[in-house]
Amino acid sequence: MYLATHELKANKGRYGLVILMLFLIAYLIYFLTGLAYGLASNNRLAVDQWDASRISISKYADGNLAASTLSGVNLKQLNSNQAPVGEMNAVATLNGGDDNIDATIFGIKFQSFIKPQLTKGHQVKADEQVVVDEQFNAGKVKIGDRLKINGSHQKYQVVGLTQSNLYGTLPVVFTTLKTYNQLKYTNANAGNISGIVYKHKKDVKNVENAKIITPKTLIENIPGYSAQNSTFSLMIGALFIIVLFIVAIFMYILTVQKISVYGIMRAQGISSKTLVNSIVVQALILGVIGVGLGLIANQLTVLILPAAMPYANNGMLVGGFSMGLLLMVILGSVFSIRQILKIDPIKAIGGAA
Amino acid sequence: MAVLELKQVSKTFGSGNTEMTAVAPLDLAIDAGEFIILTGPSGSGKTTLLTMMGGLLTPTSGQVLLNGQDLGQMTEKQRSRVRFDQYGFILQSSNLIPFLTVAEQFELVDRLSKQNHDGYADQLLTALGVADEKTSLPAKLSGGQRQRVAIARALYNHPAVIFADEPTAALDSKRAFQVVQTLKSQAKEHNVAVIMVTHDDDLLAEADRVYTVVDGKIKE
Repeated sequence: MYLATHELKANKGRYGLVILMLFLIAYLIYFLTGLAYGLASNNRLAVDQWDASRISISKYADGNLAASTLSGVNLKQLNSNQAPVGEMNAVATLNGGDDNIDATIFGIKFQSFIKPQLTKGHQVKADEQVVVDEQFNAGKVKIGDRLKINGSHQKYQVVGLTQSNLYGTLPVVFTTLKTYNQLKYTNANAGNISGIVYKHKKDVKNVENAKIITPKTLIENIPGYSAQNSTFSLMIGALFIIVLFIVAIFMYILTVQKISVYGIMRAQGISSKTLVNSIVVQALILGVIGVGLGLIANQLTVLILPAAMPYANNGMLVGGFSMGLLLMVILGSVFSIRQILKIDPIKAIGGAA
Repeated sequence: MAVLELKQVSKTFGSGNTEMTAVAPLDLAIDAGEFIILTGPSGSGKTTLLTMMGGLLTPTSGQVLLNGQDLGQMTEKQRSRVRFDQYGFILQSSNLIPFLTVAEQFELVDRLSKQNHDGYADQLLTALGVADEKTSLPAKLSGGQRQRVAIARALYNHPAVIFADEPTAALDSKRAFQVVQTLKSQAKEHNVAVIMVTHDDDLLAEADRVYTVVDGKIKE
């Protein structure tokens, strides 16, 4: 510890740069992971909020809620744990403005368990009312605003706000099933839905031409979700492995560069254990500071980035990457220990004479 | 009894056609307080001999005895302990740890030996005229100052023997002479045997005994 800390203190500039490099590498990994995980989350947050067990959707829809239509379901027979949902993509305008705002429409029964948790306002009580996610219109939506959807003449009043209700990366607009049918089928009484969401497995109901899937399957079939996730996972995974090697090689070179100093210390009888401890402690200090700064910068990024930017941290991923980086920082140093222990004393003393 | 004794010590490198004798079998006995100089051309085997005496290199044959104890019979850990407790090293490139200040060089020894030498470092640094440099890193010192601190560091653990490998190589002749005189006087004062390797013939007069090493063979 004494040798490790004093060397860091005596070479602040040099080790400052090492910490800067470790910080930038850690931050790069966290930032890309945050973006990828944020984007993935924005595809699925609304489904996660359901906390459902199973979902019935059309057997012809290939697991894609947007492509699913179930007709003739007697909605009155469904209890609050059997939640019908109608899903469609829509373009809305706000308060008579010209800006088109992309959104996902969820037509639901507001007595069912998938009704949104509100942060403001109240639940929908009439067909011309909607609850919208706070990220709608880049976070500039408020209670009382009026929406026009898909060019309809009808205006819908925002009566409630919810959060973390995104589907296919778009903020969700919750409305009644009647309004959903009106918007999608131009007939409020069409009685169509996209699927039925079940709270528990025991709530599952037999529906004609439907199949039962899990929320996980539903999410994986959100258009683009799996392709996007596997691309990002591969990209970040490859980057992480390359970074691990870079860090390990860098730490190895850093330690090997000091072999002559360690040689002198060994010649003087300073034990190998003391040197190894010093190397490992020093690597750990550098790693913890570099990775720690990366974590702090990552948290600051969450605060600084605009709400519309998909960015989210996954504790397990960030923790795993942090541990991996720390491990490689130490391993990189440890690889050089063999050379240090086998250093030729004649070379340490200054060559043959 | 000699503090350091070599009995038929030799060192060869390689084998078969490539075998090279770095040090031919030799006997040598050095008493406490003696100042010995090893001289000779480059590559003659001086440093090889020094590193064998210092327990850094194992002889091909023979025994190196420190106070009657055979270094060859010790484990590497024990030899390392001997180097730390009973030897002092002064190297051409300085034996100082570059990232520790002068004072910290001594503090490190205290920490590792779990002993407090109570002002002994100050005493040595004052005697060697470098007491004002306690907070300096080795790189901030002149060559002469660095070697004087190195002498203080080598004496600090009360060694039985000090090995000095060309400690004056980087110094001008005046400084070189001063450093050797200081080393000699400190060694006499502390009754420490000193074995110094040098190419500088002007320094030979300072030695109690001079050995010349040529092609691995030693003669007084």
